Amino acid sequence: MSQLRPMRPLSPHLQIYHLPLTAKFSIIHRASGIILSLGLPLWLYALYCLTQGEAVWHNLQVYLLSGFGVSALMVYVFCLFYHLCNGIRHLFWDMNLGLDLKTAKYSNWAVLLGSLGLTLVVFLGA
Amino acid sequence: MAAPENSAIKLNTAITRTQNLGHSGTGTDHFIYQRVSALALVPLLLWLVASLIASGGEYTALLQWLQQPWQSILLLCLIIAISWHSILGLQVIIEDYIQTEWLKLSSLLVMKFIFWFIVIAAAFLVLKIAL
Repeated sequence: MSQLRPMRPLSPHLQIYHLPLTAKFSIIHRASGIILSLGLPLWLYALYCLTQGEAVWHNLQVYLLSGFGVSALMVYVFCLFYHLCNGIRHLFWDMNLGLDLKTAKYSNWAVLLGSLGLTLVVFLGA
Repeated sequence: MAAPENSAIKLNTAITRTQNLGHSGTGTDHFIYQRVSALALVPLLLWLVASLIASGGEYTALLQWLQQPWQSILLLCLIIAISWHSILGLQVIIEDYIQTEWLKLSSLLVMKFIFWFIVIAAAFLVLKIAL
């Protein structure tokens, strides 16, 4: 079957291709989406603990406030805000707004600063 | 699924059509639902984060928060929107990276079973707290 296919041009191999920042941001969008999705069962577990009384909830709270718990939460919250900010940018792109290179380079930094800032606000507020 | 006969551009050759390859004729709805759920999630997630911070993660504060009808209704909306958005997103990722047909199909099935289970279980737990 492969012999029937015409020869097609190859795109540059990923290992030698210098990815622009926008492409890296696109990959991080997907990666953060995977992390957020995999976290959903844990949200369900937290909701379950909440229905099982104060002692069960307290156990979860102690675990979440441990060093590992807090760092995992920080990564998760950053993923959330990154996906949120970059997702809003995607919605503008879908409306054909801000697609030119110059604006896209600026909005890279807006997404990064926005998600870092919001993560900081959460952990200073909590 | 047969390709529409009257499509303006025929990207398929005769052989790919008989092999059932090429475009399926669907997929626009997937694109639109992904964006509609994203739009709903923007205010819902900001509300969730603000509410969680306000509760301080304390047991009684969280219960009091979820026992207010409008708050639990919003959480139900969030559960449905976020799971729907995740299902659509993970579907694209599985379809992109898993080439083996049987593995792709079974991964999609398992993923969808798990996420629909999460929707139903989470909704049940919210109602259990609220009612």
